[in-house]
Amino acid sequence: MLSPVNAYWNVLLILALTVCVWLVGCIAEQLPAVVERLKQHGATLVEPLRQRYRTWSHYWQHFAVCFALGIAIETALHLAHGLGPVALWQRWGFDKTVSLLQTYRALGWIDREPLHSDYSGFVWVDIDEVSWSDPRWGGGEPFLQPRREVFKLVDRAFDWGARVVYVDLLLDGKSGEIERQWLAKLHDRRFADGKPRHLLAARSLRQPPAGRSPSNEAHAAPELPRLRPAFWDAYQAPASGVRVHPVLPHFRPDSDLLVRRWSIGQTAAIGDASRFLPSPQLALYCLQPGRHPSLAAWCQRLAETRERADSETTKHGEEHTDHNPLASTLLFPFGSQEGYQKGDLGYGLFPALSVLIKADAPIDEFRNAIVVIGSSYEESRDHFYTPVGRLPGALLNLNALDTMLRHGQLHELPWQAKWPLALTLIVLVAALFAFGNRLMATVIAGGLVAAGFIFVIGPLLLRQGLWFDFGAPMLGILLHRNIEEFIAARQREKASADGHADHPAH
Amino acid sequence: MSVLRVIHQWWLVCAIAALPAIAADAVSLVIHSADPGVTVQPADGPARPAVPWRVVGASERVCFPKAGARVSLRRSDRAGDFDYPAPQAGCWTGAEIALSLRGSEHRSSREVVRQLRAILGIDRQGAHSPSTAAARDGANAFCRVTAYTDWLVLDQLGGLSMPVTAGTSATLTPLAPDGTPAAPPIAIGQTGGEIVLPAIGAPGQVFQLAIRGGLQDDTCTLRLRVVAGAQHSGVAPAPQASGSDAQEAAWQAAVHALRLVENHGRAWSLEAMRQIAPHRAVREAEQAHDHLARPNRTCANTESTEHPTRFDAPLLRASTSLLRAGQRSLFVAWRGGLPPFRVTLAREGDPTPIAELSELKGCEAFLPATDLTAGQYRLEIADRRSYVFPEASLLVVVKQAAPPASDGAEVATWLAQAQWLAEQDDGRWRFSALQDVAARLGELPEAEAWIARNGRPPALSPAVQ
Repeated sequence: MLSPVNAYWNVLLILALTVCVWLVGCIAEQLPAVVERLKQHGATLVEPLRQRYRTWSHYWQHFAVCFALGIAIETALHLAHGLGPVALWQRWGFDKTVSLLQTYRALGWIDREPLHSDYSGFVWVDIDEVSWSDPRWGGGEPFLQPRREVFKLVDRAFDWGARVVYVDLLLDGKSGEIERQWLAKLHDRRFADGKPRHLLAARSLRQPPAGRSPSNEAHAAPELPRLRPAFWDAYQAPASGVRVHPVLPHFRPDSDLLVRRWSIGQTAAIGDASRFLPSPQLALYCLQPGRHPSLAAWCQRLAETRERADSETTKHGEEHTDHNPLASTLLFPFGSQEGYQKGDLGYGLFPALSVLIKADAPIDEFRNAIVVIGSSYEESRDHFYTPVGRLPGALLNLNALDTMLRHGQLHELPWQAKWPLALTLIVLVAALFAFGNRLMATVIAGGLVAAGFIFVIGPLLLRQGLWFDFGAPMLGILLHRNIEEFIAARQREKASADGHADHPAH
Repeated sequence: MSVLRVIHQWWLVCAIAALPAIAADAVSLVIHSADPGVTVQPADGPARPAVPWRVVGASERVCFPKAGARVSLRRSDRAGDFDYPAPQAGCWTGAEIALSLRGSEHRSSREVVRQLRAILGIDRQGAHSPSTAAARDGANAFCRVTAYTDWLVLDQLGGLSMPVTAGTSATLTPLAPDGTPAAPPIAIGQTGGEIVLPAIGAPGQVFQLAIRGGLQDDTCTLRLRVVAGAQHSGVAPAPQASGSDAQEAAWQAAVHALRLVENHGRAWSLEAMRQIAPHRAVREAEQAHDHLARPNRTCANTESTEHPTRFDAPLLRASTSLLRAGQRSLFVAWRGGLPPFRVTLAREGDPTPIAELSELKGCEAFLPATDLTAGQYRLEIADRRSYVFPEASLLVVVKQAAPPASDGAEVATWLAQAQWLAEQDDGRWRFSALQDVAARLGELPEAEAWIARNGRPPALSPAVQ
């Protein structure tokens, strides 16, 4: 049903369209005169330049065109950043770079750098098809994750020296005797070095009912999603022991339905208060002392609990994402073992069953590691399509944890470095095409692009978390080739029309 | 775009050829399937059957009942399974099996760069680098030498400097004749990548030098014995004429020091370094000092099992080696291969070793004392890649038969007798002769020289031949 407000808007829209049509008509009337005037002015401005241009040699003319083309493309890319086809092109470039880097690292061409922290690395305890269907895992193919077995995995991880354990399994719900006993034991756990250990527990939110959404009740304050109760809520963290952090893992698909971005956290209602709940990667990042200012502000919010106020709910009720898409973008250093063909995974992968039955000795890789307990069996329905293929949710989280721990948030290359680099590339490519053989120029420019991917973009992304859009020279090469072919075709056509078909133009 | 695609593929092919680097850290293995009889032996605890999904740690061993028995595994840091067929009956640690996944063609990019530098002649040969030998080699060299004897130093320790890696600390403890500490340990600091020993000690006094480095391999304890220079003719440096050319004096000192180790054994390495120390400002003397500071780096290879030194044990090079029965602590020496090594002695047909040593960094070892009864034994020396050199290593322990003996049995002809014995019956008694000579290692420098001549590369031969 059309509401009165919508009816007013429609009338206004029709009026605006009428005005627009009238304006267009006026402009169309004046257009020939305006064009003529522009031609006259343009001729007086351009003519001296054209005269000068004609005095240059063929090679320098060619170079100037290529250079101008490169600058135009780079400027257009800069201005059209994030818009339509340009965004698609940039996204494609980013995906390919990330995918190539992952392959190169799996093959061992790029050395994996150790984490710049006390952690030894990542370990994924994978509830795979075999573990899930084994009778020792909750009787085999359990409908819900068997808590007793999950608790055993957590205990083993801490016993074997893990610093952080992230349980990427939903264990929300009421607590029974098993949970109470286990929490009591967890509370009494102490470690030889006296340092606390951290358990990140994935939680879920109960969304407000659809009938009470703000679109239908314009003047009502929107409701916050509410944190589902879980047995973890009863846990009181000791000063030095295991601390439990509730986290909200959430990833955002782009318009092509591929997941590239994370949500940094979400504000949810807990009782009568609201609280900011972090994503696992933010929670992990905030455990370390050195923080980037932009992320330090988020870390500060973790300790805050706000009384609910109507004015605040709208502000914080939605997911928190950064305005710059790159800041919430994941790198994908880790792929699944299916796609690697014996390549280097970059993390330790242990089926949950192997950890369950390993009772006699610790697994060395767990010492000082960040352990993620998550599932990959098909029936878990926890899979995402990403630029590097279909990944289980746990592996997506592993990639997010690694990205955040290494780089915080990704950033564009600063303009002081970006523009000189782009200019150098434009000059190089323009010189290649102007002074060299066309085939050789294409080959060398292609080599430049390939080398740039491996030696410039790769290290920048991997070590500094800095992204540089490398598409401009490639676009330039493509465009230049197309223009040349178009001109050659025009000349051939002209020659043919003049009756000189047997003397094709060069 | 097709041209670009072709270029990109070409680029990938080049990159594959140039930089095949897969790190080979000690990682766990997950068993996917195993032949019957294959067991997993934890570091402490009983052996258990190798069942699917069992994790094998780097130090745990997988035991195979026979050659060709297979186990299908996945490295915890790699995708995809691989089959490991046992080259023979026996046990291998998880780390050894994980490393066997690397083919000999897989080298780290750092190694490739190092070799390229060596090939192009831009390696440190001839360069007057300020960094120490230990720092360049990434290890405390003296901790990588099998210590069966004391390191000998003339008159006093003063002036002796040993290159060590960054972060290494050391303590020097005087020992009483019974081997107990005679005085509190003296802490020795590191200066410019070296530890410099204080001018203490008198002939006959023994010290214990404890070196503690960042890595496990860089930590060791050496025993230093101070001996009287007057009693060792030809060992003390020749007196320098006053006013002689400094460069000439340095050359003479370097030559004397190198000959000292070559002729009297590497137990004199520290004394040789001490003699060169005053002349280190001269480039040749510094090179000689650098050379002496790496006394054991040539016995084994660093990259391949067979290059530059073939994995071999000349002292075992006979179809059969005969030994007398009895309680013996066998001495074994070899060369080539990739450290660490494992030496096992087992009765023929029985996979359980009766004497075993593993994680050996050097190229010689005394096996634990074993009661050898008559029968056939198999002695195996395996390197990091579980490569066992192809020479026959069958030992036959004989109960009654005495080895052939020459007429002259005086001490003066002792070595000649050992040499003669080694050459009898197509070398069948060579290993036995080695045991006789090895029994006097540390006592007579000639024993070391004999072993060096017959089955071990000289301590000072260059690394790249």
